[in-house]
Amino acid sequence: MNGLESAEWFRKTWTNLRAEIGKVVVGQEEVVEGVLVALAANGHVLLEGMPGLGKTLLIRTLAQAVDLDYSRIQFTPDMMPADVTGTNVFTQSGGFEFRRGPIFANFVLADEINRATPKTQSSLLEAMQERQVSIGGTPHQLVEPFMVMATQNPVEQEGTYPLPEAQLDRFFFKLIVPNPSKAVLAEVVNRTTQGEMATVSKVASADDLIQARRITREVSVSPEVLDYALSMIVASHPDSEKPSDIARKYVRYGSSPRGAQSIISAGKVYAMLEGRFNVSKENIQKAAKPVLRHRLILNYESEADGVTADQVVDGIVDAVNAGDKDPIKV
Amino acid sequence: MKLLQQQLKRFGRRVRLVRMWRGAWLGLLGGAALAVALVAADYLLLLTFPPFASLILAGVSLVVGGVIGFFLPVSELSVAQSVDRRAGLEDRTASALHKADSGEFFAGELEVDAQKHLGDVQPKRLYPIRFGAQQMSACAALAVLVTAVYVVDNDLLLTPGQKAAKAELKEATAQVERVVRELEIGEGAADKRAEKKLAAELRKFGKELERGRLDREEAMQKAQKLAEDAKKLSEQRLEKAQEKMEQFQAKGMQEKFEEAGGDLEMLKDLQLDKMQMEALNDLMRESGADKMPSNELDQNMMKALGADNSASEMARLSEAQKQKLAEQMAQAQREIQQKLSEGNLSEEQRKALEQQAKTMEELAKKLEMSEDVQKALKELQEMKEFKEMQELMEQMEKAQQQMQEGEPLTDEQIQQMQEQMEQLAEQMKDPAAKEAMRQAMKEMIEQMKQGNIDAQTMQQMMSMMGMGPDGSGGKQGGAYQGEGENEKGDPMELEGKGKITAIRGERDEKRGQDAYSEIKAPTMVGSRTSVPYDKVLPGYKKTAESAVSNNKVKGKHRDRVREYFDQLSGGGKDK
Repeated sequence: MNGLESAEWFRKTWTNLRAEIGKVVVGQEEVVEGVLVALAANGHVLLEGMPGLGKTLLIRTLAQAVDLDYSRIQFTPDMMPADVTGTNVFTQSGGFEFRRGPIFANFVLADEINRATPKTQSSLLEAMQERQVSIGGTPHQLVEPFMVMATQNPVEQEGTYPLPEAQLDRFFFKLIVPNPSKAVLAEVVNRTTQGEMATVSKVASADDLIQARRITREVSVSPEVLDYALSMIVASHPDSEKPSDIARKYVRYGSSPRGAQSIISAGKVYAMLEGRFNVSKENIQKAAKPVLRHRLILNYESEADGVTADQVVDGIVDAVNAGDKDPIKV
Repeated sequence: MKLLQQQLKRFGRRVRLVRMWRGAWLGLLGGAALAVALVAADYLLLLTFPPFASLILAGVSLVVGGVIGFFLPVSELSVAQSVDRRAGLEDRTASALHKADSGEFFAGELEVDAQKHLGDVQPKRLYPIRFGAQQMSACAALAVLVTAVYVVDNDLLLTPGQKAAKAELKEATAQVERVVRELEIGEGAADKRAEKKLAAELRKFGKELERGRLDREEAMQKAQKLAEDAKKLSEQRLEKAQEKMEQFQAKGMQEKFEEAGGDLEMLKDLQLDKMQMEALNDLMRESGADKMPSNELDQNMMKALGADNSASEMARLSEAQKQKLAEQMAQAQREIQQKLSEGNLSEEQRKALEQQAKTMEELAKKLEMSEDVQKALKELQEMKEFKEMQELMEQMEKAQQQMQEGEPLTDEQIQQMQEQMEQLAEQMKDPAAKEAMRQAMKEMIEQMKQGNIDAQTMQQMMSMMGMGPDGSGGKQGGAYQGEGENEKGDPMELEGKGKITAIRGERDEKRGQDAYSEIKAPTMVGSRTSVPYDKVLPGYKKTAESAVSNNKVKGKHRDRVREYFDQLSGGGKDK
């Protein structure tokens, strides 16, 4: 396939995927798009929302649409790392055999990940980054494509273990799952309480996903757009050379370099989805919130002022846009 | 790639056009604003800025702004980025430019995509020629400028009286301006900086007059001050010219002397050659002595203000320099005439010398005294009384010399002088003769005031008439000199018609006796009274007694005053 055909194929595949997911998941367009972008960019997603908003449904539907393995892990405080990764079991034949844990799937839903202890969380996070688990000194490669979708509940924080910043950084996107509107809710009710449930068809394969990831990496990024994206990352640091005012006021630590990688990768997927061969600044702006919101460590002042991470990201984007002017003044 | 670049060139040209448009308006805005500021500064007399120059400034700024706008660099990449931004192409063009030769997977598709989208965009839609805030501001600034230059300066809102006053002041301003121009174009200035400064002050003065900033009294005072400055400059100019001429002459003489090998016999043949004369001529022209605009300066200015008294003052004071210059000119003229009379010159040399002589003659005429002065002097000298007075003065001078040499005057001489004095006195009793003399003197003084006679000449003339500055007579008229107070102990008998008296008294106990002599004779020089003291003594004594009795004299001096007058009275009686 040449470039044009590749782009066409990608757009078609992703459009089909989106449509197939849309048969089951009503509304939540941004979340669905975010998940698909992270899937194409080979990233993991942290979903934050109230229970019952369709997070599990979304990941199960996605797995069905691409005909890949799917596992769901409900994290609890007493869960051990072996419960996630698997363990060596002594068999009747007299030897040890490795029993794979739920992490060995293409799509893993880590439900309420913040309820597990840090030890258990870290076992999952190692798998996310290294795409392997080490048990008894033996590394075990995870299957490709591999994607973790973790969820956490913004309420009921008592007895939870918030994810450390280093571990949050491993997630490509953090998506906020909003409460559905009344119309969406009505549609959800109608679809789930009457007639038969919609069935999801397989519209893509594991190879297609891998192919899609390869194509998105080829999307061009001009120096100006790259500079624009990096300006955002730099502006998120309060002690950088060009911090934004809002970051200086409310941010304790800014985005890591992984954030820069993520924002460009996300921009590339967005560009492909929009039928372009280059990343635009608009794509970067669009990727800014899901990429940066969990990578910014806010200070106490933001908490006191009730300033959220999204507001800080908006401020950073505005600051960078203000410095990005038309080179020709007429 | 070429197609993309060609497409971008369309946008580049459009950008230049719009920049030219914008630059022209910005230039007009800046120029008009600057011109308004300069006009305001001119109005406040901070500097001189003619109104027409403001429009020129605005126009030039417009053109310069347009040219700068057109020629400002416009890079291809900048145009691409700008087009992406303005046309919403989402960085397609700039990315295509960057990735054109990169060999990336999507490079070709990216370029095609950019060309396709760029083709749908019209340059004039992205870069329209607008009439916006900048243009409005420029128009406003231009309107303010025109208002400042023309509307404020017209007479629409003035009453007829104000208009007349303004017209009068404008006329005066025009005169001042004319003087300023003469001053500015004057050559050979001794101190160009000072002349420029004076010209600037004059121009400012003219502006103040034009705008009615000064009342008449202030204007007169200022004009007076400026005239004084002009006078100083004029003197400096003349001094410098004189100095140059002297140097030049000395140098010429030295050269000639050296040429003559130090032979004194040959010095009589010393003449200025043609080159030297031309150089001298140039010097005169350079010095501006033949033009002397500054002499007219205060006259014109004061005349414009209705007061030209100080002009003559300036001219009078510079007369000494003129006199010196005239003498040097005369010397140069004589040398030219001598050279012309030798006859061994070529036709060309002769013409050149004649031309120089003519120039010098004209210049010399300017430096000579006016006809009015000569006429007044002539009339004075031709008066019968004046001639007799001169003769009498001469005789008195001889008598004085004779007395100083120790030879007493003969009776015959004394008799002759006495007769002449009486005759002159009789003539002066005639009101007509007295009036004629007075008129002649008045005219002379008037000439002096106007600067046509220098102080030295006037003094000489007064001396000739026995009216020296100390009242004792000049050199010529000093027939009576200090044979008076306390020089000789004995009274002098001059055997005149008048009665000679002497008073003796004690001036001071320590200093001994003093003698006071008084000659009762016709006043010759007008400084001594002809009234006998015993006629006035009673009046003085009465006044003194009144002062003593009214306690106007301090107690300790009262007795002294009484004794003094008693002695005077007694002494007079004794004699």
